[in-house]
Amino acid sequence: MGTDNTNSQLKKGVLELCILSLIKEEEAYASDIIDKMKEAKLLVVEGTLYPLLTRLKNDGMLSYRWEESTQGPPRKYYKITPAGKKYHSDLNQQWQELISSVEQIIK
Amino acid sequence: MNKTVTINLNRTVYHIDEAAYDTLYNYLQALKKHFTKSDSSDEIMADIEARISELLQMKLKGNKQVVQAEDIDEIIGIMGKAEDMGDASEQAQQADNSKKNNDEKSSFKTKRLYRDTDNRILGGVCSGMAYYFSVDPVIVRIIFLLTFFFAGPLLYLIAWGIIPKALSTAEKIEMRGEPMDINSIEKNIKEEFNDVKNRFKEYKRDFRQNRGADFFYNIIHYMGRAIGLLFAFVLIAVGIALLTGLSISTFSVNSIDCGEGNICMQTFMQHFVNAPQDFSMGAIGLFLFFGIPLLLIIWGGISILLGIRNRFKLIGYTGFVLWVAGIFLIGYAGAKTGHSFGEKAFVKTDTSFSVKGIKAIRINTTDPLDDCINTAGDRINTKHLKIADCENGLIFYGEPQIKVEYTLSDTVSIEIVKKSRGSSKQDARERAKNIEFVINQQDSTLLIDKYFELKNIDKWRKQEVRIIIKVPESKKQLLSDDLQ
Repeated sequence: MGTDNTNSQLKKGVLELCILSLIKEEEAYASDIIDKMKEAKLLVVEGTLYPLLTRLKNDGMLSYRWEESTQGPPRKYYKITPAGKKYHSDLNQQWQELISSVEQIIK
Repeated sequence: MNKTVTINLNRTVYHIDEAAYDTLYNYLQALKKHFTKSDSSDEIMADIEARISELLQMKLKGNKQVVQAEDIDEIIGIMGKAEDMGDASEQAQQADNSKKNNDEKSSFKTKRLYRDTDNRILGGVCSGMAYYFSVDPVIVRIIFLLTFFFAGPLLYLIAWGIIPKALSTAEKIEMRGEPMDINSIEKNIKEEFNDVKNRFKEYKRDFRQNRGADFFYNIIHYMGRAIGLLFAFVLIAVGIALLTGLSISTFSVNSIDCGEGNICMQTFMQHFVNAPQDFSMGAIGLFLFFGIPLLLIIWGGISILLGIRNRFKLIGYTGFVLWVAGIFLIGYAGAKTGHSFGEKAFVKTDTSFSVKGIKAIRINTTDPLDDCINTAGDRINTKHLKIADCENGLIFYGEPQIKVEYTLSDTVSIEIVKKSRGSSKQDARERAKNIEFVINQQDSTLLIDKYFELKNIDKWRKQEVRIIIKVPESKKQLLSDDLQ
């Protein structure tokens, strides 16, 4: 059935929220975001991130600039946009509503 | 020791082990394919490659110079496989999921009808159709040839014109119905590359050829092929016709149409050779001797039309062996038969008649055999051998050679010499004795038998009868006109 489907859809929505939250806190590289996700034990392969980041950028939620780094070639340094902030708060609200509804039901 | 490939990721150079390179390459190809459905796939790939580059940097710290297969495996684990990744667009996500469902249900391969010009005889029509229906091209060609005379070459030409050539790799894969994925494309490209390499070498050799000649070359080339095929047809037709004729004449039991003057192989052979097995061997030998070359001609024609290479390897050897066997059989049968003709003998009788009682000497105009001979179904009529096929069976007969000598004596004497050949002197003499021929005196006429006959339907061994009529000169008039 569609359990895989639902799971990844869910994850996708959740990931957007997470990514936007982290970048909202401070500007970050893709690898930083991955590290923080791992710290929080949110299982996601790195490859998942890049398409999401690119899409958010294409939709205008994020912007980036190239940063020289000590580790080698320049890397993208992501920053949230005003539109992104708005989108983030929308997502956040949905998430909170979702949590409270589900908590109510499964109690 | 292993080979190393030099690559660059995100503008950094890496040395990577050959096997690891293949894995990495395939992985990146798979990702690329996964992302082609989304927009900004290039950007995503660039980001991913940049990240991989970072990870490799970390792995190459210290003295390690070459990226290994384990490293790539780890990196793939970290980055995730294409299926595990999300996507930059919604549609692609759904497409991914539906693709998974489809893969479980069936492996659907589109197959399209193309002309296969790589494996063609004429235009590649049969070859292409063979792929489409998943049968061996030889079978398609056989069916085509069988229906050729009904459908005609026109249908083939129409098909040639309508069905497109499979030119590109993708089209060739579609023609064969292979799943369109990285591996089959790669395989195809490798094959194509080798093909092109070889053709390029040839092309370099022929480079001085005039461009304009290409056009005529093509026309002549195709005309030549068509003529060649026509020739193959002719070969087959002629071969079959001759072979049928040969079979009938060698193996038919009843003689066909042996009228006067025609030699009928059957009848002759049966009584010519000594024993039935000699006859059979000789017949088989003849059939092989003439038939094998005919069969090879037919086979040559067929193999041209069916596009079979190596056509004469096995068949040629067997054919040659059988043909030589045929020669030996003929030789053996011939030798055995010749042996039975090796010796000759004769039997002589001398009869004297008193002149007084004789008023005429002539050859009998009738003979008991006449009935039979005139109503015979088949006849052989040569100088030395006459056979008639009568109701009771075959009759062997002949006319005696008659010589007249004028003597000074006063008696008429007739010398009858019966000759025959045989496998030994005794055998020859026996056969000579078997010749039936008499001279009778009827009232005052000496009647000489018109024919001599071989008793007991003996084998023909060149039996002959010679008579010498010795008559006194003065009594010449006794002889009938035809004897003088």
